[in-house]
Amino acid sequence: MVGIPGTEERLALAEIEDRLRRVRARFNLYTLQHNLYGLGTALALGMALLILGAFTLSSWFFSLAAWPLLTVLAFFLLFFLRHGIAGWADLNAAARRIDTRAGLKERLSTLVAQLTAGIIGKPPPSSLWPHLLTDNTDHLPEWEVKKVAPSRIPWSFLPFLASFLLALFVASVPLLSPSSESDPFSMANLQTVLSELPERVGQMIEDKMSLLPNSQDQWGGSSMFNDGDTRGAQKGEKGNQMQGEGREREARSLAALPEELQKAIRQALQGLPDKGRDQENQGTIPPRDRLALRPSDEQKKSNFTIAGQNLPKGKEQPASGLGGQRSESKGGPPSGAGGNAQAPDQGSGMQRLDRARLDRKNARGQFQPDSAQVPGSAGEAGEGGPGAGSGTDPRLFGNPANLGSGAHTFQLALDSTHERGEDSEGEEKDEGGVIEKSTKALNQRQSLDDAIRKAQIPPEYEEIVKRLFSRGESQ
Amino acid sequence: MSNTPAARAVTEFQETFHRIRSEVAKAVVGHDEMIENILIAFFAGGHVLIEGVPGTGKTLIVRSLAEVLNLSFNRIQFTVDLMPADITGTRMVMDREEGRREFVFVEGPIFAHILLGDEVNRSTPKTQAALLESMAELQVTVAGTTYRLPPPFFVLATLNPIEMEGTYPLPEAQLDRFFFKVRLTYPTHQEIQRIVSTTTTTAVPDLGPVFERIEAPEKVMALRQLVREVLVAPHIEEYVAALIHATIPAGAKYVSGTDPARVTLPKDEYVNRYVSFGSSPRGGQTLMLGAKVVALLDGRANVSYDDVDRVAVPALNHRLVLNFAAEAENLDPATIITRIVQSARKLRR
Repeated sequence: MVGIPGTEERLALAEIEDRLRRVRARFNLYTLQHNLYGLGTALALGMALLILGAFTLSSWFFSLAAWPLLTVLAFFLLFFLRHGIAGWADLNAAARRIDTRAGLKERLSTLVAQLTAGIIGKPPPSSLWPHLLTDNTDHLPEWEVKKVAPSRIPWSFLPFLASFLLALFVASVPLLSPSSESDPFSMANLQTVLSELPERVGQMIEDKMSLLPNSQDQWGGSSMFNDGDTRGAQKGEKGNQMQGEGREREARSLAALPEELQKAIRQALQGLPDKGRDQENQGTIPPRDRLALRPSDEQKKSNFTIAGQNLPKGKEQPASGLGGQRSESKGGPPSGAGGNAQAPDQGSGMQRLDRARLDRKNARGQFQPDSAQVPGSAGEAGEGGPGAGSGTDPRLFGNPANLGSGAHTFQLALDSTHERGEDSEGEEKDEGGVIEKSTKALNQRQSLDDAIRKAQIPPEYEEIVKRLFSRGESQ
Repeated sequence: MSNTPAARAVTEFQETFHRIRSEVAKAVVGHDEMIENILIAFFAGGHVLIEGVPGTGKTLIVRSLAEVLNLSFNRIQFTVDLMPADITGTRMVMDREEGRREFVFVEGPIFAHILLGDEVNRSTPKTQAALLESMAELQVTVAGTTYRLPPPFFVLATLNPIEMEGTYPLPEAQLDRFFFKVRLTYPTHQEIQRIVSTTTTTAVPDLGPVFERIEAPEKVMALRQLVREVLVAPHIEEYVAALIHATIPAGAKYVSGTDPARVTLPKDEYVNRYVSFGSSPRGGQTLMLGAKVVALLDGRANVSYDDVDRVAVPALNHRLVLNFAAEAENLDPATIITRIVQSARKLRR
């Protein structure tokens, strides 16, 4: 090469250094991945053990075991950190690895050692230095980047993947188990979960994705924290809801059966008492009262309850009370007793959002008012504000003595919302589509329920039905 | 390979080495590895101790080498009554032409480029010491006057492992001054057949000298200088140091207890069990220089791990002092060194 003396030498060195840096980057990436996967394996296994311990050990033993486990995890963190730092290759280390892999007999590492020692711009350390450089240039084709440092996934990825899936499974077992299951990691439950894994996972995902908020109540939910009082309290609060939802689930699964089988089950159902519904009726209010509580078409429209707020006069009236009736005309006068009715599209965006949220709660059957809402007690549903509701309209609910807790109010809200969906689905679109989805789902549920109730089931399917109901009872 | 002066020098070294080997092989049947080891030591500037039973060609190898290299050659047969002055030379009263008498130094046989000390273990320790001092210092001091030995100076001493009665085994300190110790084994069946057929006729092997007589010493010294120009990476130096340390048994005397590197070195079980004293630092120098020659023979300007391993056995086997347990189990130092080299491969990272 013509030019400044030493130009050829420098060009050769630059090429070697460039390739060496690329190889080093690959080595370090691999090292980083390897250590991260190792650390991930340790953490995933540790998490799985912690979850397992939370369900299988008593709280005292869990506390005793958790700290050493966390210490071990911290040790692994430091170990892989140190290992990663130690394995981080500089140019000399990378050159040595290349020598080993490409069989260069330490040509490259000797050259790099001279370079890193600062040979550039100084007299050559030996008369053989040019020979070493040309020798390395001649051997350049023997250590292509892809050859000596191929892009590959570290072997530690496999244990990481396995441990991650294990941890995922351990974490999801309580979610996939029935809430009544006291020990989700018992062999029987694990076998059940494993045998029905695709269906349960699908259902769980469907529930998670759905706006209908009953996913936790179907499987798990309380299982994660089902020790002692917590479970009891949750059972007490949600008992009625779970029974109703359990039957809905049964109904949905029945609807998925073939037509002939459905017909047979319907026939069998006619000959059996509806225990779940009886219990529900016995536990809450008499059927007659419930029927009485069902609002008329006019009353159903007034079921959207939003707590009234004290706003200055002339500003937007935020809400109507439970007794506040929804007016069909915008800005119409309050038609409820003491409540200031307001059209859905009136008021601020927050008000409409609150209203929609409340409707969704009612539709789910989970709505529990913050304070007991006894119909007729003025000032509880909406207070303050000139247009605020002053209480529940007694005409709507009949005799207040028949209403006990807020759960009855929930039942009313569920039915009311459902029937509203049938009647005025177009109006719900104004609520941002949220109510529409809930209403459609409830319609579908209701139609399935009705279909089952009216169906005829032959005697040979009686056993199936009994088994279904006995399972429902156990749940 | 490019045509730079450095590359030409390397090529010239390779060619010279192979020419010497092929010429010596005309006279000596077999012993290829031994001859190569002797040549490695010669170009590294060391001396070689050859151990072998009588009649295996020790003297023939040395004589052939001297003839091929076209260097001055002397032979000393060591006996019990050999005196140091018989080796180094002595001052004698000489008559001058003008009638004056004065002491004149008469050079002994040691003043040669290549010296064969046959059965060196048969002389007294005093005579051995005279030889070994000149080997180390490359000079002779007689009556207070120091005389430099002509470079290159290369000693090949032979040891006869049998007939040990009346012999004086070389002490370890003097053994350490030999670069390599090679063992001449019995020739194979085919080699004996060739020896019988080629040495019992009137034909004499015609050994062509590689160098001209006048330029031979300078040429040899230039090649020796080239050997020292070979580049060594720091991790190779570490490896050599680790090998030397690995020959030292744990708990040996005269070992610094504060050496942090020792704990990380692989320590072979055999070393602890059978070795009393390990190699000296001179063994490390030997390893490095021998590895440099091997690297040049391979056409490289750098030393590799394999070069070091290649010369480990001849460089270290006379530097390990084995204990009685090793002798009882008839263990060879070469076996222990081979194990050390294998265990030290972990350091190749």
